[in-house]
Amino acid sequence: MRNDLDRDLERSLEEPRPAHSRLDAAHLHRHDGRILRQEAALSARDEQAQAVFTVIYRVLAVLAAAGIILLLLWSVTDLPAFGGERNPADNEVARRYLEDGVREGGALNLVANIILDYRAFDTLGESNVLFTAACAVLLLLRRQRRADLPHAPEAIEADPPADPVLRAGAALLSPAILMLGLYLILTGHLGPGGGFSGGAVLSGALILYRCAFGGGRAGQLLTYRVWRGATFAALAFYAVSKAYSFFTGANGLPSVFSPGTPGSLFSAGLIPPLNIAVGLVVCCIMYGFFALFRKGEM
Amino acid sequence: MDLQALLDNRAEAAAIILFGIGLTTLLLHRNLLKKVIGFSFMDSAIFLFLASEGYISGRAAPIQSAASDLPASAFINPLPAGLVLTGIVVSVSVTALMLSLTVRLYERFHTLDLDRIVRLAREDAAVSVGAAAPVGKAERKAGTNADAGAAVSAGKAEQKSEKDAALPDPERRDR
Amino acid sequence: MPWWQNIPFFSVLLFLLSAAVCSVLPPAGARRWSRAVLALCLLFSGLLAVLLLHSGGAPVHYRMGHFPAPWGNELRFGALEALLAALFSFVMLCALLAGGGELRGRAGLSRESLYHTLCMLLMAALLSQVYSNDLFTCYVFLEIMTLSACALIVYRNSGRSLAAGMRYMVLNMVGSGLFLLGVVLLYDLTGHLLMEPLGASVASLAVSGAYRRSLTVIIALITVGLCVKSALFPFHTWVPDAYSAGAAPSNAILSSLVSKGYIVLLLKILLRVFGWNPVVLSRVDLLLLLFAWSGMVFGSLGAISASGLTRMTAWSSVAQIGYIFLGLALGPAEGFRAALFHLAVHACSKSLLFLSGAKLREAAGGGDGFRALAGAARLRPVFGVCWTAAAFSMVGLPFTGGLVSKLLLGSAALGRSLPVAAVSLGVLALSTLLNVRYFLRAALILWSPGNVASARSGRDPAAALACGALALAVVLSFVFASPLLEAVSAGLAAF
Repeated sequence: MRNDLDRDLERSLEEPRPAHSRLDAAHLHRHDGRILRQEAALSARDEQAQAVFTVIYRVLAVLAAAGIILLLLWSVTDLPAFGGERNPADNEVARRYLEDGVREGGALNLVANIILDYRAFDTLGESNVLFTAACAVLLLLRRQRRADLPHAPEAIEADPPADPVLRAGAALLSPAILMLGLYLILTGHLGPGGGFSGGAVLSGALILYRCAFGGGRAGQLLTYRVWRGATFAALAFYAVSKAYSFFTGANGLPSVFSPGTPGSLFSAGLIPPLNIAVGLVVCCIMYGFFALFRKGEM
Repeated sequence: MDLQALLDNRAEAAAIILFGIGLTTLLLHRNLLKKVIGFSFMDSAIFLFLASEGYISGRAAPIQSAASDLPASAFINPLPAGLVLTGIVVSVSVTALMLSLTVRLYERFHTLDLDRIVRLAREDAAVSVGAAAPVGKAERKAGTNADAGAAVSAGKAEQKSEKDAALPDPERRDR
Repeated sequence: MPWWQNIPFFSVLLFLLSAAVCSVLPPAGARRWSRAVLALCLLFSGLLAVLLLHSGGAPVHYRMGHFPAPWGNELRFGALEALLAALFSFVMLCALLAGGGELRGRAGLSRESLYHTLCMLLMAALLSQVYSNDLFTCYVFLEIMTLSACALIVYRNSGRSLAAGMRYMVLNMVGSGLFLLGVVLLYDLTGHLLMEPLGASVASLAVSGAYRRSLTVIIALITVGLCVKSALFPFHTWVPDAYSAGAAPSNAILSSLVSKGYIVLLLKILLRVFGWNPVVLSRVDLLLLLFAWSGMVFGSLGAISASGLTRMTAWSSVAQIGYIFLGLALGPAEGFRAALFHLAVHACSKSLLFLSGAKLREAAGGGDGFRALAGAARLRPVFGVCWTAAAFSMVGLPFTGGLVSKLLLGSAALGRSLPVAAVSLGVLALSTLLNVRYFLRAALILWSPGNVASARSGRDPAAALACGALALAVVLSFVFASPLLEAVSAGLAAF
């Protein structure tokens, strides 16, 4: 038994340790041989135990998944029929959105009425969810250029080489995608689209530009300050304008924003400006995610 | 189980199956990226469910045209569409946060295995001040699968490993 | 409509706006702004609570927008919601005041501003959960709370906090997923998202017997989802790491505010959407009882074997959440009142434990192990006394609010059937004894005339003020227990 342990010990000392296990290195440097022998013995027994455990674990995991699925399917058999006309969900709530949506909200896109007029508080919360995630990702991924290390590497990823195909394609497509995004945002109340989808498309254009031309040129336009200012302005505008809307609504006061004539570009009260604000927030934050993940800075 | 009812509600049934797969992947898989994928699955399944419950056969998307004014019975239920919109944004935000955490964890610990990371983080705290903290077998066992339903055994094993770490009583510094 | 009925809407919007503002201010400005806004909210919520208690019991419905519910969003509040809002603002303000020193440090970076942004977002989410009457709005703000809490954990950027943050996210996303699926299923069955029409529909469905399977599953999904998020046993595995890995104000905020928000939401849903009878019929209350009992015991066992003060405090949270869920599971009126009172007392005392513990650690040189902390309380007697008061409240000694909540839980248990009452009282007694074991040991170590390490004599009047205020709250909750309980009961009747 002792010979086996000594042999294991010698073998473990000879094997090259992987780079990240500096904890193993710390163990090696300790002069307490008892701990090292314990480690070697434990690791041998451990491997076997781990193998058995893994098999049992996989079987149990599959059983757990099957159990949850069967339990939920058991209740799905009880639900109203798919696509049925007399479903409970099709009640007076949905009917008013469909019948009076255009008259009360002003937008032809009935879903835009719901999310930016009837249930605008939810959308305010949703924009702030995105903002919270952006703050968290900033905290985690943003690298600060430390004043005491002037020669610190400025970027994690090098900029891509000047690929002619990519650059030509981006030069052709980015403006088009940009236009599509702006169109979706601005006519979100007249047809399918809106702030969220338009903002995502806009950010796609910016990301494509950055991928093709590198962070240097993109960074001249969209610095951290510009990003921060744009996000702040959009969120503040949403909060303040909706505060006015909620306040006037709750207190029974008339609002200066009226639905207008449905179908024209300048109609639907606050919905187009809110679409723009939401689009700006989504665009900035999605682009910010990309920049932070790629380089750790904007 | 009434198979005919399941077939009638195919979309909901598919959504439930995806939800179950996503939930167990999120909870039980050890690889961080697979956990994020599982979460993505789970949320997409809920959106599929929500979208399918708004559908009414034979009706159109809820967008009026300026020219004609269609009655309410020509459109599907618009409310689930709004809810799905909100849900997608929430899902994207959470995915972004989890992925950034994954990036930082990988930079720090050079592994994507969450159980290993938890173990390394605990050993890190003990070793960093130079005190000896023998890595007992109990601690290793506690590291694996500590998040899953085997909570009682995990809890007991964790207490044992706390005792192991408490014996030499390391002076922990604020890291 | 009287002007003061605008206060809840105003507080939520103010916090949301402040979040955007704090993100562009420099750290000093963000600090001042957040403290000012929190103080303002505390003042106005307190005023609202007093006015609502005076004006009688009916809850106020506040229309958010030009369209009435169920087509538009709605806030609904009574005295209880206002009291909770005031409590949460108070605890957050104290946490930011006392923990401010720890946030400062990395010069020239805007990280601290982001910390305040996240705190503002957390407060907005918390208040929306307390005030909102709509299930989907609650879900959206629940996610804000989860994300900002995770960011608060990983603010410190150490390996431990990153790992803790990841474990936190995984389990919380499981909870969110379950909760959202429950909400979606409920919408499918009833077509409503607002809590009152939902309650009416669920009641009529329960009577008619339709969709009984689905209703049971929905109740289970929503309850288990929120229990996972509020760290009830056996879903507590992320708590010891998450509550001890962050900076001190993060620990305080997470343990005393974030978990409470979920519990308040669960209470609201159980009362307004489901009603207590369907919950009993589906046996979910028994499930909660089992989890609560186990949590109370295992949390204390974990705390006894914890290495270090912060980890011990984190483990004791598991036990205390068990107490609150015991009250919840013991049913309406008595049980809920006990749960809410303990929620309030725990919010104050747990944050006080973390904040004063951090100051004592600082005084003793930074180490967290018990040997390093020997005698720390003698170096900083103010914080030592505050810590001891909080510990006494956790144990349930006289002159602290903890005793009142234990008595309430006991009397609520007595109102149930014999086996439930017997086990509840037994577990309560056992848990109290275990609490005594580890809190008394820690207190003795802290006050022992032991080896005193480097005495960092930095004076922190803001922290002393904050800890003193929290300690005063803990003591006053005992002295003014009767009027507080009456207020809670009145608020519950209108909840």
